[in-house]
Amino acid sequence: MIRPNQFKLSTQAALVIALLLGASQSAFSHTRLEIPTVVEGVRASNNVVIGHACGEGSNVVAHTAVFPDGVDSIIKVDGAEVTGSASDYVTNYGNLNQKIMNHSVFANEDEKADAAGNVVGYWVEGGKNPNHYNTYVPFRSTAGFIEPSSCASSVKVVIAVADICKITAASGFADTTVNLWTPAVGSNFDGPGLHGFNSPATITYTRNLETNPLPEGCSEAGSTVEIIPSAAQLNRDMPIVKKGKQFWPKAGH
Amino acid sequence: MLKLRNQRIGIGLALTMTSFVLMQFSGAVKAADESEAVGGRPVFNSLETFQINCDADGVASNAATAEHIVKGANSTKPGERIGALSQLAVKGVLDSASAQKILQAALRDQDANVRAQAVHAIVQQSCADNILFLGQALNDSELPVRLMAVDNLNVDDTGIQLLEQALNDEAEAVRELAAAKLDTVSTSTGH
Amino acid sequence: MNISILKHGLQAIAGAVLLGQMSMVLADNQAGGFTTGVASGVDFYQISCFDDGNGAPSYVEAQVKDITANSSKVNILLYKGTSCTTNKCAQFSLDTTDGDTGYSPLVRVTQGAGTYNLFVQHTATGTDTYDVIAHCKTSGGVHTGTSFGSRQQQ
Repeated sequence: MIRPNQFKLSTQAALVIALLLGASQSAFSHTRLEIPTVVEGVRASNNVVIGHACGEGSNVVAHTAVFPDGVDSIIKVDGAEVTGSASDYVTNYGNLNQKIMNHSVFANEDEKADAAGNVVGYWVEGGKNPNHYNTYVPFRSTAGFIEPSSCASSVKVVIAVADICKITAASGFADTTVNLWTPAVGSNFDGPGLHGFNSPATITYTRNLETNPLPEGCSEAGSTVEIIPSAAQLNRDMPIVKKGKQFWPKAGH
Repeated sequence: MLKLRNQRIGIGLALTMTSFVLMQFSGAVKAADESEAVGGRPVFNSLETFQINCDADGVASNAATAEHIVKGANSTKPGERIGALSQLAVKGVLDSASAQKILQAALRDQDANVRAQAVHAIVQQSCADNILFLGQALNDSELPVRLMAVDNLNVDDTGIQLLEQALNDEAEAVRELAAAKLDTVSTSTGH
Repeated sequence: MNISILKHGLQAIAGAVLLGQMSMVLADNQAGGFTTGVASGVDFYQISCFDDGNGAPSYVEAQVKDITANSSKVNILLYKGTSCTTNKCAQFSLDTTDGDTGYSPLVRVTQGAGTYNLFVQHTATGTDTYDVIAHCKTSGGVHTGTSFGSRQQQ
């Protein structure tokens, strides 16, 4: 039989534990960019901030991010998918981001490039981000120019991120092994049912209306544009390949 | 008929011919062993065992340039090796012995663009048996090497035969260049 | 062609660090090559100019080095804008002597900040390897924010 005081003590203990856990959670509960919005025409140093690992006692041991390559990316204007290319909205779209080397947490890293040699992402591994910690993963965005002839007042670039706690095959993706902060576009990295589902990181370029006013025929507020990596690109670029061998996900199902 | 100007050239020619025959044999065996395919075709360095014989009497005209060429030729970066070999397309920038050593090694380079540049430099250095050499280069698996071979063919009787062979190459660029060179024959003869 | 902005690649960028007479690979170098070899091949890059703290960009200077010695010679066409009266919108530069350590004549297009288009072509069939140097500069000739993006490789 449970005595009332015993129960009360247990409840109090549970509350204390909960408070302690709450106090140790980071300010970034999802992996996001430190600076999620930048004005066009300006180069900016930034960080992808790993918010946590995969549960108490776990560590993020590898991490990767992929930017839409603009080749077959999904383009949305005011929420509706449109045909056209990323450079219709960002004149110099492509190769806008470069990883800044940093070995403070992860010992190994490299960029990922597309067939044209443009950087489309990066990976890091060989370290540990404990569950109750944040890690800053630095990169630099060169100046993006919103296409003057477009009505875009802002262009949101959707970034697919994976914080990996355990190296598994894709069949092993679970909340205890990986956090997938990816857009739900039908790729192998959608992570349906996982807690980061369809919750990707983003960076938004805003139009400088003084130097690049909206052209005639646009609405007063202009349009909000999104550039999202395609499923095909994510299937190709999300894996971490180290020295020619695929490191994550593990081969097999 | 081939006239031998002196004993050295005669020996060089014999060696070259022997190498040619041996290379044909080893090439056939090697092709069977090739595991690295490029675009579905096994990688085959047609010049890997070709022994070149270049003029051994030349001396370098500029020591600093010569030093840079040697350094570039030994670089780990293909672009630097190409740059060094491209300078060897001019006779006299390096002493002939060093030039021959560099060019011979370049024929075994892993990078096809480096090997291609070596083809051009060897022809420009007037090494012996250019037509045999270029004919062999036309059998290479790599586009840059075959293209450079076509580029270096003279539009004379033997060159025309090889250019006509190149009209059947699998690569558009090789066919294009061979046709363009053969066109100059048609143009010059008024046909 | 492969870029590498070092790239690539491209295929990685075939940048090379050379000393003395040889070219220095800097952040504003773009290496590439015509991998298809066809005479009609065109590589297309975009150069973005922005104020990186050194001042507002006024113009782009560019030149190319044809690294491969053969019949084909590499050239560039630099272009931006449609107001081509006071300042030219487009400039052409050809490396007439491939295989040496020199670059083609330096050309300049003065069309301010933003995106410039750079086309790399060659005069004949050949798998030419090249290196392009381009810098965005202020009206006072100071280097300012410069970045490359690759659009087409042939």
